[in-house]
Amino acid sequence: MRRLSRKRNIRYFAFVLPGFLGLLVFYVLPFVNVWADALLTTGRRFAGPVHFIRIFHNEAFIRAISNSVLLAFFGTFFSLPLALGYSLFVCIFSKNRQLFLLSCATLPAAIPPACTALLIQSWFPAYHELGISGMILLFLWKYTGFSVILLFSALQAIPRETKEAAVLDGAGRLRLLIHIILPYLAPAMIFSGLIAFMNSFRIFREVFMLYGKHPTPQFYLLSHYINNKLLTMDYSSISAAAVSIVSVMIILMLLLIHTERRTGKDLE
Amino acid sequence: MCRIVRIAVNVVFISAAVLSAGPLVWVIYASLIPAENITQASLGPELVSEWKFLHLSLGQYRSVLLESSDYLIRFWNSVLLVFPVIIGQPAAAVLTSYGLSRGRGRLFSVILFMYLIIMLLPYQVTVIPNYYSMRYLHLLDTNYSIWLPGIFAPFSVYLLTRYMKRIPSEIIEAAEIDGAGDRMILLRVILPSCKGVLAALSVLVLIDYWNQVEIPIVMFRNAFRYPLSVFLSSIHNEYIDIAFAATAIYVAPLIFVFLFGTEYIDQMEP
Repeated sequence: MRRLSRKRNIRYFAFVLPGFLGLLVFYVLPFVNVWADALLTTGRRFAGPVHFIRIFHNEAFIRAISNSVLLAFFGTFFSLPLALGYSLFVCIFSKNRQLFLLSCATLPAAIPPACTALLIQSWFPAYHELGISGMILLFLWKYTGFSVILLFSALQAIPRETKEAAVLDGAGRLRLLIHIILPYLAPAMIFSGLIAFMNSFRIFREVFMLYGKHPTPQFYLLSHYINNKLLTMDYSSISAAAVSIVSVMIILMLLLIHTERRTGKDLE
Repeated sequence: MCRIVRIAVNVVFISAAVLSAGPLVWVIYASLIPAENITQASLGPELVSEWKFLHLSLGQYRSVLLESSDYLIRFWNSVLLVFPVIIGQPAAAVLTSYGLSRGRGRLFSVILFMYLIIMLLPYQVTVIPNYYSMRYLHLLDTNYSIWLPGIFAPFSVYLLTRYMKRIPSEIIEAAEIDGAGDRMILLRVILPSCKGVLAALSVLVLIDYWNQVEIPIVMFRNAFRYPLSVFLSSIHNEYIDIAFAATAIYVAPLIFVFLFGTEYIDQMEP
């Protein structure tokens, strides 16, 4: 039996292999090079953590990191309740206009950065004073729609009997929300949180359209840093930055999956 | 009480419509203003306060489309860069996701974890390994530098695998008992139920790549190769008088596809 499943796994791995090779070639293996650049001097000698220390003392890099992290954190933090409220609203109050409301939520994601930038330039000339909170607002407008879609379809998937049983047992609306709906939504919440996190980095596009390659410090994001370092061919800084970011990300994800395993909700 | 609720509901409806469709309507309207009435300062509220907003013309479109080839070249650059990716990424993901969703054991979870991590990394980080591999393969400044990383990007694989794992295993086991091989199961059982998701993925990838900025500005040194999404930023700063027509033409394909694809996106389950 064990042997059989092993044979099957090999067969399934054959399906995975072509795509996975692509991932390895274009995304994973070049990281060897990135590591090497991060740890070696220009004379190909081992440099230790020199480059890491240097970038973490670099003001531009700290700016870029803190702006990007603030944007990602607060963007995700505010977008989830907003999306939850909106999708509950769609579920409860609109019987025949659901598709309209859902399309309204997702349309901003399809509006190109160029268009958004034009709009901001001509209608909100004071936008550059908002800085980081301006970017968070932009993010909420643009990408909350994805979370709405994900949460809405999760809401639809809650079995009607469960809700009815709770109501029969005397649960009020608030209790229904807290004890039935939210636990059912938890996996979808986590997933849409991840998607929101991923999308928060895309606000760079609008900022790039508005302020070009060298914006004021409030709008300076990771992409600006990496892009400018690539132009000046400062590979050791970029590599050290990339290695730090990837390591932090892997640790965060492992923690998330670990806590999920313990609470019994699977992410995979 | 009931009336207050109804008013509140309508307020949400109207503000949702204005917030989402408003910018588009405004860009299309502004693209019809004759170029001489447009200056950076007079675009917004001031235009409305004077009576200039009643003069409409197609002058902007004429200068964008007919008087110079710059814009059209970038438009076709964009189409050429995006098309292989929106077909290729979901198509390549079908095989990979099938294997990942059916295989059991540590190896498969590790691979899926890798896909998750790389999906979550910002483009500005993943563009670095992409750049190295393209430099190594001497493909910088060619369209392959967008196509290849795009086709193998983890987004479609991760989402499709999640979706395929939800297909009840009884159906697949039944097909296996009837003697269906992998190819048969994939073509006759899995693919038909994934049609909607594949369409949704194509739309999402299109939205993402049509608006791509991060990768082209790193991969292309030759500004002639830039897609429209990057080129528009220079239009805004230098030729504000035709920027609206340029943007309107740029949005059109996206909105067209979005209106078609929205029902698929709405059905997409997490």
